[in-house]
Amino acid sequence: MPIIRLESSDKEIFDTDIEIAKCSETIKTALEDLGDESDNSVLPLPNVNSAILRKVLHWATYHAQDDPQQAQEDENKEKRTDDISSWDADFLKVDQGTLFELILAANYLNIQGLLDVTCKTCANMIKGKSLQDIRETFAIANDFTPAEEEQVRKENEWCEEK
Amino acid sequence: MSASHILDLKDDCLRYVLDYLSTEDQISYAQACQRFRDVFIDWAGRHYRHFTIDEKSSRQELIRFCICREAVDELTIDLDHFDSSRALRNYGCVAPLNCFSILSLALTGMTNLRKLIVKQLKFMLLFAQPFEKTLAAVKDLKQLKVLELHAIDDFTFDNLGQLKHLEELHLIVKTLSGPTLTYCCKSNPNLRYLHLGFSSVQRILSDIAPHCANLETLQFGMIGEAPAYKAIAKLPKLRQLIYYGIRSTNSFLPLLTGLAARPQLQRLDIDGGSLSTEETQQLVRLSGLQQLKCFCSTAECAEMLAQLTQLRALSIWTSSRVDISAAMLRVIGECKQLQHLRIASGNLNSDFINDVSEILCANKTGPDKRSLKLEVPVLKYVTPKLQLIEGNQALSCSEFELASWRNSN
Repeated sequence: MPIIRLESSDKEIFDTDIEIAKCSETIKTALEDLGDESDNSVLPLPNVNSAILRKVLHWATYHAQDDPQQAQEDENKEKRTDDISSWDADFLKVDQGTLFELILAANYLNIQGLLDVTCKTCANMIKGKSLQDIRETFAIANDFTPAEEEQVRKENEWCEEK
Repeated sequence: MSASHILDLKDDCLRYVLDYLSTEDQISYAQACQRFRDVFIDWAGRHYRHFTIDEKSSRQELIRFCICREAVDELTIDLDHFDSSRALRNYGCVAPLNCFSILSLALTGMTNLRKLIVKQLKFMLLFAQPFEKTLAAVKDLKQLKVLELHAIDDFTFDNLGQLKHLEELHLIVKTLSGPTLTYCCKSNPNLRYLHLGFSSVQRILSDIAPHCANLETLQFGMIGEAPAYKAIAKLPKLRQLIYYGIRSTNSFLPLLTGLAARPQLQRLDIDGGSLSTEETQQLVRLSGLQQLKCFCSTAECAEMLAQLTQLRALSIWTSSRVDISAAMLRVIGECKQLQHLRIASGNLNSDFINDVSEILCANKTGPDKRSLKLEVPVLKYVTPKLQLIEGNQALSCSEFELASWRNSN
């Protein structure tokens, strides 16, 4: 089994099956650039720490046999969020900080499947909530000026036609 | 890379989350904080670059539109959306005014708005002064260059004078006070295009002319006496003059005389009232004219147009049943740039199209091969029978259509 040695930001080495590592488009491209020299070489991933990289590789190992992603749906059309597998749901029972770090790692490593499922989970934390609930859920400060605040308040007063 | 908070995510990740939210959830998201709002505008804004508010606009769509107000480039407001008679049935008559005040607030923030169209095209119950309120809301928008107002009922437009950056103004309204228009022309010195609906204004052209130093196109219609039109000749940069509607005989003589003294006009439409011989004599001195639309009552007048050798397009309507074949052949022969000749009415002899074809072929020498699009009067009205010949490279023939007369540019 060919191995690639991935190095996290805190210098931990992960010996990884190349086929599993290749679920990351970023790593796949790097390996292609390295060519034959990739055997046993170390690939540094300065944007991912060991805790997150361990989780990412855990996810990638489980999903290694998945079919490639289906074609993207129409842009700006609401996509489903109720199709998260139970394994993924368990996998993502993590604190907010870890979820956001996974999103960033999935984005950086370009792992579409992981990005999809983490963003869906994040979207589910927003769905159906009032704007005040959203602020509380994510501990976001209301940083609008009083004038902007007034605009927000008024926007919501449009009457439903028909 | 340590993201302990949602705001540590990059914009593209935050945008990605939006894909999974319903319209209603997206609105809450965009209203939670500045950063989310910016991400939303970046993601949805391009759908609102060109937007129309009309009877069908839904609440959610309007809220999203208001959120994206900075992204709006061109906006059409059909006041039908604010019709109280419909709203009365649903929520009591106060709702449309509330909605309009929301829109006004959004308008003040449309810093990139370039074109605004406001329409009242059918009878409706409206709150007081919808146009004044709209104009007041957009008065400080520096990018607003094009404004179009359509109204079939009486309204005032006094706030027009508060706008300062207009370059193109269309006022297709029932009545417009002279002082309002004058004040508006004064405060918008870069106005290049002015379009006034028929009879919207009365005898005020002499008042606005001194303030329209940059006006290149004037489109208007009004029933007036000769002195009322004359002031137009003073517009220093006028290139296109488009007149429509009825007018009295010879009323354009002083205007055409004035224009001929400084022949810079490139397009002239006099879509109403046949040219008199005196008027035609002045008109043909406009040596730079490339596009002309007019009514002629005699073959002599029609033939004089052959002096306009720079003509590229000519639309002519003959109001009597004289034979204008010879006159038109002369025009085609002399005006070697002519690409489009539209003859709306008048008699042509049966050899006319063959004769045109011969002239075009005779002119074939040199690198500039001529080609002409010819529209002839509807054949059943022409005696004797005119034969449409098969088009060739030099000549394409078709029957005149009224719609093309109205819409021709």
